[in-house]
Order: sequence, then C-alpha cells, then structure tokens
Amino acid sequence: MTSRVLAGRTWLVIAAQSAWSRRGPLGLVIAAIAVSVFLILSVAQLRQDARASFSYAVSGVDLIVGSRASPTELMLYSVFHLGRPVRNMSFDQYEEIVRLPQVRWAVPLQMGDSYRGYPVVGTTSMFFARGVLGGKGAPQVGFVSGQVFGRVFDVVLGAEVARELRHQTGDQIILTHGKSDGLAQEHSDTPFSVTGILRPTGTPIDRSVMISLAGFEAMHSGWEFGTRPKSRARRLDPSHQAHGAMSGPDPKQLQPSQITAVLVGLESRAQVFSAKRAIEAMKGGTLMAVLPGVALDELWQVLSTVESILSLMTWLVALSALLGVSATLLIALDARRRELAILRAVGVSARTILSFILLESFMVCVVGMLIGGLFLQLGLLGFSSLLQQEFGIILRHHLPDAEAWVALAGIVGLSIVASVIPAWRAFRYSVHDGLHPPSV
Amino acid sequence: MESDLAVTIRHLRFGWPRQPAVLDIEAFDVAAGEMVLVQGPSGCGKTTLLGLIAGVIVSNSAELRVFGHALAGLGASQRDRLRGEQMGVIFQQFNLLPFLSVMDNVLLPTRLFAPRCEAAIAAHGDLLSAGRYLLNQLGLSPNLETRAVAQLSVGQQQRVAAARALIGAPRLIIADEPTSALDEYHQSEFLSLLIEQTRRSDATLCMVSHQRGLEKLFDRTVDLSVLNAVERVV
Repeated sequence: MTSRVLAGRTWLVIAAQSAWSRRGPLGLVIAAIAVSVFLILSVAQLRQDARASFSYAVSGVDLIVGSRASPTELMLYSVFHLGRPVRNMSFDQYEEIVRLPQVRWAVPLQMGDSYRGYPVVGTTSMFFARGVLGGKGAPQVGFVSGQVFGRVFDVVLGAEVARELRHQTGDQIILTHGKSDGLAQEHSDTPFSVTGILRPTGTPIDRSVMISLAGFEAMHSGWEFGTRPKSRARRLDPSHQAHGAMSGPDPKQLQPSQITAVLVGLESRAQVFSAKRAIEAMKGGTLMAVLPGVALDELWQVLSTVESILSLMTWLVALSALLGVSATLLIALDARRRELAILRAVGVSARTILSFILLESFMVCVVGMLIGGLFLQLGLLGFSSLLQQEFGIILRHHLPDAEAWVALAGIVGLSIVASVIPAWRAFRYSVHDGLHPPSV
Repeated sequence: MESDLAVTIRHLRFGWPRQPAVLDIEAFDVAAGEMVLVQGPSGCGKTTLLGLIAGVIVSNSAELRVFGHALAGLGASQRDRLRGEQMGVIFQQFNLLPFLSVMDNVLLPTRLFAPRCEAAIAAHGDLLSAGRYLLNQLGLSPNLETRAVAQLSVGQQQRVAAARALIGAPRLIIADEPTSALDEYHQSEFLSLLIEQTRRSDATLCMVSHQRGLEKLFDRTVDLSVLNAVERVV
C-alpha cells in the first residue's frame, strides 16, 4: 500500500515535470482552449444580456401605441431609440386612450431631439411614477439625486448621460434640434436646467434626456418649419420659470398637438387584447397597439439568422483552434513516444500512462477554460461601458445559461478529443514500440 | 515460484498481427547469474525477443518464464510490476527522461517500486548514496548528478542508463544494443563496466547486439539467426 502511495506521488511529480518540459506546446493548447471558451461564452453572454436588456426595458409595459407602421419599428424607435423615426400620433388620441376603462396608466413619449448624441424624450412625470419597468427581476426607475421635472425648462438625466457628460443637478444644458450631427441646430435660446439624475437601470432610460411635454413644445415654439425662427420673441424666457411650477409660458398653450408614442399599463393583463382592439378601433383607425413581448419575439426572429451565423462562426473558430491543438500535440508526439517507451521499460503500466495522459488533457482543458472564463470577466469589466454606450447592452456578471453550459461541455469534449487523439496514438505506440522507441 | 533459470522459453512462435512470424524458438534458457549475448543480423527478431522476455510484448501461445513466473499467466499490471521490480532495461539510446536530472533518472525505479528502494537502502544506507555509488562505479563524476541529461555525451547517457538499470539490485538486466551508438573504445569500456557491475550485484545479463567481437566478454553467445527457425526474407 505504502509503495503504491509512494508510486502515485512520484507519478504526479513526474507527470508534472513532463508537462512542464512540454510547456510550449501545452501553453498553446491552453491558449487555444481559452480563446475558444472565451469566444463561446462571450457570444452566449452577449445574447443573454442583449435579450435581458431589451426585455427589461418594456417589462412593465402592456402595450406600445403609435401610428400604424411596423410593430418592431415602433418599439425600436419609441423604447430603444433605434432605427427610423415613426409617424406621430395626435395628442387627442392620447387623451382618448387615457379615458379607456382598461387603461391604468398611459405615458406619452415625444421624440426627435438629442443632447450630445443622447436622445431627448418628452414625457410626463407619470413616466417616473408608473412601472414602465415593472417586470420580475427588472430594475426600478428612481432618482440618485434631485427630482422629477417640475417646470417647463427642467430636465432629468439618465444615469449614463449624467456619468458620461459629468452633469449634476443644477447644470444648464442646451439641447440640439434633431440628431446631433454636423448640420444640427441648437436650441440655444431655451437652456434647460438639470433637476434630477436617475439611478442606472440597464435599459435605454439610462441613455435618455427627459423633459416635460411642455418643455418639448416650448423648445420648438416657432420651429414649425424645422429651423430656428429668425426673430424669436423671448416669450419663453426660462427666467419666467421663477414664478413657480410650470409658470412662465402658459402650460395650456404648450400642450403638444402631436406625440410619438404612448406606453400603456392596463388594469389587468387579461385585458390586453380588448384594449388593443379598442385602441385600434379609435376613429380614423390610424393607431396601432403593440404587445412588447410579441414585438420582441419578432425582433429575435429577425435577428435569429444573424445569431445563428455568429454562433456558427464561433464554433468554427473554436474548431479550428482545437484542430490546431491536435496538430501541435501530434508534432510533439515523437519526443513523447520515447518518454513513454522509457516509462514502460522501468515498469510503469500502460494503464497508468494512459490515465496520466488523460489527467493531463483534463487539467489542460480545465486550466484553458478557467483562463477563458477569467478573460471573459476581465472583458466584462473592460468593455461593459463600451457595449452599453454603443449598443445599449448592459453586461451582467452571472452564470452562463443552459445553452452556454452545453457549449462549454462541447468545448471540453472537443478539446479532450483534440488532445486525447494524439495521446492515444502515443499510448498505442508505447505498447507497440515495446523496447524499441523510435530513434529519430 | 522461484527457479535457477532466469529465463525459460519453450515453443515460442511470435508474429505481429496480420504479419508473418518473426520468431520461432523451440527452446532457449538463460541461467540465473549468466551473462548471455544474443547476436544476429538486423531484423532477425532480437528486440522482439527482449520485448517478450521483459513482458512488454505478450505471446499467449508460448511457454515463457522469468524466474519461474509464467508471463502469459500474469495480468498486464503484474507483468509490469515484475519488470519494474526484477528487471533493468537499457536501450540503444534515448534511455533517459529529458526533464529529469541525472540523479533523478538513476533513482526512478526506486521511487516507483518499493523492493528496488528497499534493496538500494539496504546496500548503501540511503537512495542518494546508492545512486552515487553506481555513477561512481560506472566512471561518472559526482558533479554530473544534478545536470540535465541533454548536457551529457551519448556515452555518459548510456552509463546513466546502466546505473538506472542496476539500482536496487534487479535480478535481470536486459540490454538492447546498448553500445551501438558508441565508438569502439567506449563500447568495450562501457560493456566491461556493465558486466562488472552486473556480476557484482549477482544479476543476470541478457544483451542483444549485431556487433561482432563482443563474445569474449560474455559467458555464452547465442546466434539468433540459428536459434530462430523463421526463415528470413532478405
């Protein structure tokens, strides 16, 4: 028994020394596995987080209402600020929706302007009070500092806007007409003051600059032709606000005639189809009510081909990396053949040799996977702000989903095959070579 | 089951799967303590014969005994243990594990098999002394023991291999053309040392070689091309 323990320990030392002597090729193998694992986990993580980010953003909304168009386009533009602008709907229609018995709350959205690349959203204070984000596990809207806009030229900033542009409550900002490109004109005569900064939510709200509908209307007073009015009376002078909430310009006068979309929460989710029918049957029949879940599903369907291609590419990269593993090990095989013949000659059993070859393959796999996983975590730290900024995807530290586990198992399987095939050949040689290792 | 015969072979007929027979030996014995040289041209089955004796290759049909143990009756791991405990093997070259030092290569069998370890300690007090004694007897300087094997000449490597084969007093030394990589001067020097040390540890030596002129160093020389009934295709 003692001698077996002694031999076992000796074996571990010898196996470790042997592996260390082949650290070059084994390092490449580990790197290849790490890259494959990193790629596959990254794609899985992105897919998972992209879906979560998207569904959180509409988690509390039962219906998105807008002018008839593509449901996906309406949702993308009104909630995610992506894609082409959709046609506006009238404010009267919004008021009609509010009066529907099934409707618990309805938040209007007015869009089109921007602030240094971030979209400006005109809405009401209801946006913050109601559960736009209300689903299970979804973050809640709340203030880090300050409060909701109370006056015409007040603005509330999403967490990311405030962080990136280093704004705090009390700052004065100038919004831009239309998108912030080279030709855009600034609403320089209607500066807004920051009254509140929102908590991060991981949704497009973080990237939003939110003002009241009245503010939106006031800012555009005289811009009916899409450009800055030549001689603009200072009737909307922000200094008038000092007189109190919504004072200065007459709020009645600042009621918009058109808005972009309405987010609707119902008394009961069971009423979603009756509410949808009621909204779409309103006079003129120009409105469309979209179930966010259905629109998201449509979006995933559109994206599923892209996802599949991405997945396929990832697997191909992983496969080529693992073929490289096999090639590397096969090249190093002759030196290994001699080593195994020597070990056989001093009395080491073929079974012991095989078990240590497998142990080595397994260890290499595990180390490769750990390094790949570590890279992913570092990547999450390093690229999360970029991804959030560019694509609105909030990366979260979480365990991989079932699909990723399957992928990981696949990688383990593939890499064990990739490293075991040369090892198995080496083992066969060691049996066949007998006492005559190759003399090359 | 012990025996005065180190090796007993009866009715050995061996060929690799789907290939013609390599060996056909009716009877071949090696007495315990005997120094036997098996000669014959390349390809006559010398290495295969040694592989069969060492239990690395198995013939189920033959009667092949080593110190009375019928190899065909032993399981694979028992054969491996018999080899590890009772035999020392020397190849033509590439005998040493490149990632171990000279001393670690010499001590390898004592670290894997308790009887070799106990025998070495019984004879020399501790393993390091046993290794040093053998290296010294084989004419290797003590300052080589921590060296990497790649830094040694082929002749030095063969002596280290001999020390590893001899440590812990195995009863049978199997040597497969151990001098063919050496020049003439080093050949006879190496063989003299190997035979002397084998005699000193009361072991049996079974060595194959295709080289002529080594006969006088051995107790007996066997011509495998005569012993082996398989006709060679030239």
